[in-house]
Order: sequence, then C-alpha cells, then structure tokens
Amino acid sequence: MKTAIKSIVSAAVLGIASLSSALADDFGKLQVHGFATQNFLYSDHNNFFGDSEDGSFEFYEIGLNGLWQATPRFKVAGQILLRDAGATDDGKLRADYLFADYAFWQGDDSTAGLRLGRILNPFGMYNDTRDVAHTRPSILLPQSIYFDVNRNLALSADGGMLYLQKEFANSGIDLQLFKLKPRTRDPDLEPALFFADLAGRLEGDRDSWLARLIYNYDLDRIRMGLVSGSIKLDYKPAAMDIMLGAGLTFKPTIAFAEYNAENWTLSGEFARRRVSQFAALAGAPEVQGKATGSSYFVQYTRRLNSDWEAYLRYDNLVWNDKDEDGKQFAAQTGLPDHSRYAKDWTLGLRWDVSENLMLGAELHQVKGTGWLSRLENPDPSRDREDWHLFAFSASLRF
Amino acid sequence: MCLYRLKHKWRPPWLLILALLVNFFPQAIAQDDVNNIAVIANLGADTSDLNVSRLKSIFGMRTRSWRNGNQIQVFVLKDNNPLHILFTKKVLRTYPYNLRRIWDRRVYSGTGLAPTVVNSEQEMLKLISETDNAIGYISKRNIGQNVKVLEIR
Repeated sequence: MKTAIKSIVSAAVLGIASLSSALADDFGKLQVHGFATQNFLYSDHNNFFGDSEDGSFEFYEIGLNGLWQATPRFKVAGQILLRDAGATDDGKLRADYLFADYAFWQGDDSTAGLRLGRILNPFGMYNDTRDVAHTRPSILLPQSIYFDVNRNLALSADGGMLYLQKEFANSGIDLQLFKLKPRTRDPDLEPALFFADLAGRLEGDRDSWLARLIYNYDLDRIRMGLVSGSIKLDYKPAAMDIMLGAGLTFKPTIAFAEYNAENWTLSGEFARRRVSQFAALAGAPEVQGKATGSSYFVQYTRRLNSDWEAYLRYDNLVWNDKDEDGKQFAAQTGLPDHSRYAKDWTLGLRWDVSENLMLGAELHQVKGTGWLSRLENPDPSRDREDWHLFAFSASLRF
Repeated sequence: MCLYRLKHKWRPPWLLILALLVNFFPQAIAQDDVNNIAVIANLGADTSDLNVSRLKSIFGMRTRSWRNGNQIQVFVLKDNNPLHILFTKKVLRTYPYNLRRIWDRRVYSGTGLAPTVVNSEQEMLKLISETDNAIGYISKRNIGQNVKVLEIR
C-alpha cells in the first residue's frame, strides 16, 4: 500500500515536471528540472537508512526544482523534495529552498546580489546539491562532513544572503555571506545531541551565520574553498519537561579542494567542528561541555570511459579530538567507545546508462559507528565496531 | 551467496581494485581538426572583446551578459555529440563531464540556468540565427549566412 502511494506520488511529480518542462520552452525564462533516486542498502551489522541488516529500500529522493528568470536581475528559485532515509527522515514533502534573488550590481565581470527566503547553506563542496544523485561523488556522501542524520539542518535555512561573483582572466571567485535561522525538524536531531528524545523541541537561533569563499581556476580544473560559521540551537522545554533548558553552538571551519583532469578527479575536504553545549536537567546542576572534532575525506575518481566511473575514498570522523578512541567517553557514559569515531573506506562504481539514467554500486568497509543514527540502532550494546555497508542506486533526472 | 560471504569476514580484493583504478581504458577521442569548428553568434550580438577565457566563462555560464549588457543565450549540442566533445576539449580546453558538473551545480542549486541543448547542427544554426544574443558552435562546413563567425583570440 505504502509503495503504491509512493509510486502514484512519484508519477504525479514526474508528470507535472514533464508538463512544466514542455511549457518552459514557450516561456523561455522558466527552467524546470527534476530527479528521482531509489537506493538499496545492505549491511552485515548495524542499521543505516532503514533495516539495512535485512536489506532496506527506505532511502529514496524525489525532487523537482524550478528557476524563473523574471528579468536579467531578478529571479526566483525553489525545490520541493520527497525524501525517506530510514528513521532519520519521514518521506514527507518539504521545500528544500525557495528564494528570491536580486542582482543589485552587475558589472562587466562581476555580479553582486541579495537572496531572501529559504536558501541552501554554503557548507562545503557538495551541500548545495546533496540530494541530486547525479551530482554526488558517490551514493552516500562522505558522512564525516555530510552527516545525513541531520540533513535538513545541514541543507538549508531561512534568512538573507549576500553574494559576490567575480571573474578574472582565467579564474573566478564566489563569496557568500548568509545570516540564517537554522531548521530543526530532523527526526534524529535531538537524539543525536542529547542521546535521548525529549519532550521539548529545538529551535534555530537567528544569531547564526555561514560564509563561504570559493576560488576556481581554468573552468574548475582547480576548485577550492573555505567555509566558516556559527550555528546556534536553543532547546525550548515542554511543560513538565525534565530538561529545563539547553543549547548548542556549532562552529565549523571547512577547507576543500578538487583537481579535475580528463580521466580522473582528486578531491578532499577537511573540517574542524567546534561544539559547545549546555544542559540543565531538573534537580541537577547545569552541565556544560565543549569539544572539537575533526573530519576529512580524500577521494580519487577515475573515469574509465565516458559512461563508467570508479572511485576510492577514505573518510574519517572523530567526534572529539581529545578523545580520538572514545575511551574517556565510554568510561564516563557506559556507551561504546566506537560510537565516537568512524573510519570508512569506500569503493564504488558508477554507470551513466544514458543522459538521464544512472546506476551506482558501492561498498563501505567501516571501523566505528560515529555516524550511525541512534533511532535506527536503539541498543548501543548491539552495535558492531567493524561492519560493511553495500549500497545500490538507480537514479533518473531531467 | 554474495550476502552470505559479506557476513563472514568479507575483505575487499584490494589488488584487483587497484588494478582497476590504475588501468587506463583507452578514451575515444574525436580526431577531427580543430580548425573545422566555428564559434557562431546571432548577427545582433555584441561579441566585442571576446577571448578564450571569456568564452570559457560564457560556456561555464558564469559570464552572463555581452559587453552591451544584454543577457547571453548559450546553445550547446548533447554531451556525447562528437562536435561538442571536440569543442569542449579543443576550444574551451576542458571536458564534457566537467561542463556538465558546472551546469548541474547551477541548475540544481537554483542559482542559474543551464545552456539550451539542441539536437543537431542544423537546429543550432537555425536557433542562433533566430535568437537575439545567442552563441553556439558548428562545423565550418555547416556555416550559414545568417550568423556571424567569431574570431577567438
């Protein structure tokens, strides 16, 4: 039944999409694109995006986006998405982004403008199109940086953004400054932060910001960037809540680079995540904590011919740099030490069957459970430190 | 069978993988002469001040207007069209996959439009001649009267 509803909805979305796409030709200034991806996951231990230990189809993404260039200076862009990812997402329709964009300054080789609305977070190399399988470097993004458990929070936020794009002789820069109020409607956000699902709710604080500078040389032969920011969340207690107040500040610094040659691409990203948290439980003194964690990945992608691609990646997550092996954490909480890190070797293959259809398969060999969802793995003592995850993906786009 | 093995101490065959990654599959490269490609524009387009890096920026959809301020309309052939491959490699000095990634990033993040894809050189010629501020490319033997051929320095 659920599957039937899913296919009806996806058929409807795609139907509307092809209709709009046909209309686009007539109006000229409206472009509509869409994508649909169905994945299959299988793991030998631990669950990721559904009951992957038994094989899970609970990871799919169906999206539709449109851009209306009203005048050369003014445009409106939006994307709606249906997404399920096991217990970490709900399969419901949401607006990923919807913003108005006014280019208030257009020089010969530069543009500056303002965006208002729900805007994609300028966070790392892949965040802007993280749900579009065709644009990802793999089926699952490197989880150390693109932690999918709080995907909505990471993807986009409501606020205002100033941007500047400038072209030089054979290079260019993009600068984005974003003042935002974080989105906090991820099912697994509170469990991930407080190790429990609480009665109250987390709200984004308007005092949050993100900035990104990207430099590209020779039409993206080299592309590199820097990200900095501060994301604040406040806990709003419910009536009779055991948690009287809590908050979290997340300050990421990210550096990334990629080199694109004819037959290969080398890419990597490094993130330092500074987190400070406080929590006040009823009848207990307020607890404060600070930790700095690091993430990085390096990926080598080899284009075997125009349709086939193979890739190898190492992705490393450490939640607390001062407790890399999680031993202190385990001693203090009784939870497994391996939940504080994850070292993930990924090997994958991608086949672009046609312009619109793509198939992919990848294998993860993981040591550590640092990016697993607690909702999907409720009993920490059952988690296994060494595990494998296999993913298969079929994706359509237009 | 495969699933059964996964449960029991499965180890990736690293040597095989390495061999696969390092192995060079020969790439089919179009051997046509680069001199056979013509960059063409609508007769009314202000194509002054055009050099290779500006052309790169135009086809990368980063430079969006001609010097007179009018918005550029970019036309391309399909990614796997031999002339598109040749144009991308020899004129823009990049690769079709890379352009596609640049366009995809714009399109799916709502920050810009992608070029209009046409199915044939005949269609390209027709659209360039009929569309204000249009730019595209074509084989020299297919050049028509109603477009201008651009000299790229």
